[in-house]
Amino acid sequence: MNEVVCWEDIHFAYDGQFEIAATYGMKQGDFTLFFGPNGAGKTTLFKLAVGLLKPDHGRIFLEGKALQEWKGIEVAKRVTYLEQEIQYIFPFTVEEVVLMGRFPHTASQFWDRKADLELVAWAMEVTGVLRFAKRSIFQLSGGERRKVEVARALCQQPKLLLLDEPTTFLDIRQQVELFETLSRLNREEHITIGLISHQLALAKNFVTSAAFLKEGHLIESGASDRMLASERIEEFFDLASPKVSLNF
Amino acid sequence: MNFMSALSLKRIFLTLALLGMFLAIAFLVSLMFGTAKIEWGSRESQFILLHIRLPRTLLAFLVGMALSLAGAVFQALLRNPLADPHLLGVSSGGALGVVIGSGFLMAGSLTLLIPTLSLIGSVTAVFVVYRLSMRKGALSLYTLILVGVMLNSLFVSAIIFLQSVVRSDELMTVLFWLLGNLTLTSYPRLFFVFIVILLASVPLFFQARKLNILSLGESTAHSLGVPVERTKKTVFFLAALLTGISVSVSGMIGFIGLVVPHLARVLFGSDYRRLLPTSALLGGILLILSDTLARTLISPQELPVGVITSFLGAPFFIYFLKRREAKRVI
Repeated sequence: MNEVVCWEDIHFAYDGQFEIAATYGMKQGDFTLFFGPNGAGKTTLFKLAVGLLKPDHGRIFLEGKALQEWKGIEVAKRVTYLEQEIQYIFPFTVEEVVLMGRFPHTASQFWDRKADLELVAWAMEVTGVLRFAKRSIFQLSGGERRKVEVARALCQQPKLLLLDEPTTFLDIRQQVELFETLSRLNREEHITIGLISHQLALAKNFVTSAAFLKEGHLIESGASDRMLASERIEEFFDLASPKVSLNF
Repeated sequence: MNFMSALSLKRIFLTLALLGMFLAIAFLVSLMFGTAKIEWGSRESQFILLHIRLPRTLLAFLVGMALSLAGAVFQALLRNPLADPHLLGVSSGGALGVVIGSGFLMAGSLTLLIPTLSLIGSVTAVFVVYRLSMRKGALSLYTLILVGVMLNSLFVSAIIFLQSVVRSDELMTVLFWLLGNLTLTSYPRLFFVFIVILLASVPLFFQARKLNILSLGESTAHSLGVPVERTKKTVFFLAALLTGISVSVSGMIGFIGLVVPHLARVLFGSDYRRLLPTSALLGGILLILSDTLARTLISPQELPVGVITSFLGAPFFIYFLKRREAKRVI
């Protein structure tokens, strides 16, 4: 029972159109890359895990207990799902956005506890956005916003962190920094991390396992060095061109 | 640690104290100025102060508060900075109720019955909009905004149609009322409005953190453990109630509900825990001042207060829009 999350024989179709059918489990301490062509069902898999979508059949287990038996707020204390893109309507400051991550843990509707604010500061420090704390989210670049969202996700203190393309809008250096941060959280804070990304070469340096999805099916999963070897990637994505070198 | 609290007690009290001071000034200005000159010790002045100006000022305060709160809530609920309390047909529903009702009434009884007719119209509109926006047990915000706007224009055209067909003095009263009017009040009515606004606002303050998160979108709200459907429905009905009760006693006062929350965001920040109280107070202050202008500008005649709020609100709003465009956020 050391699986943090388990998708058990789930099947999901959206308005009659088949999206995904898969069985997969993530163990405590995993740092897993979910990869595959666009439309493979990676995001759907994550959304199912937090109850944003309900499977047509099959079940999802969190810490060994079926998802529907959990209360929404209890799920939020354990799992964070960070969407691909968040649109802000109001000029919240960075610290206000990060503070929202404390919602499932704080009972008070009005006041912030000191402990919560310290966590907010820690999360901003870790993701390198502390210097923007008082700035409006509208004044930040796409990459900086992404970091703020990761900080918010960290504030939620999840046991399982599901990130949907967290590296979009980030430059190479920021991407490396983000992966380093995640890797450290995975090792030191023992957060289980699932990550959707197309940055296979970069991810290979950090993740411990990988799962390849295609057309709604989980084709193969295993240790990252095996899964992300260049000849396997060529095979997965049908890249037969001899002109392209994939020696990462 | 050099890290200021996002919502420190000290800051909140300072802000509220500041707004409280402005509110006191607005009250004084509103009581002092008007068509009749106030003379100390005169019985007539005393009567005017106690039975005309004070209830009217209190009503302006309550309505300004209610409309601003409703506006702030609708903006987060609909995830639309352009949302205002009159957008979804709640108000025009109330107005239509008054216009239809006035067709069946004896002359003279209209002013007494306007609030009741308006509430009936608003409540009907709220339930129609709500029913039409439900999809598989969930309140679809996309449908809500479209259905609301459609019904709003339907109601408005029905009002104009009725006014073109039936021409009477009674309907002129209604037309005047529609543009926003704070004259029809009495202490019992004021008390009733106060209770309803209190009952609707207090639970809203408890939704403040959820409103913050809801404004980031439904999936993010869900992932953070916000009970999305329950929150949406709760805040929709509470904001609609605030709108309906305001319209029933003051007609359709425009722009307060749209502009005040934005002004409060610029001045005091976007966190709804701060935004709701500051919007409420700021809205109350601005409507008191607008009403004072409406009473005094062309004294002894009066302008509908809605004309003042729109006249001052529209340029401000365009300025705001341009500023946001410059920051490329719309």
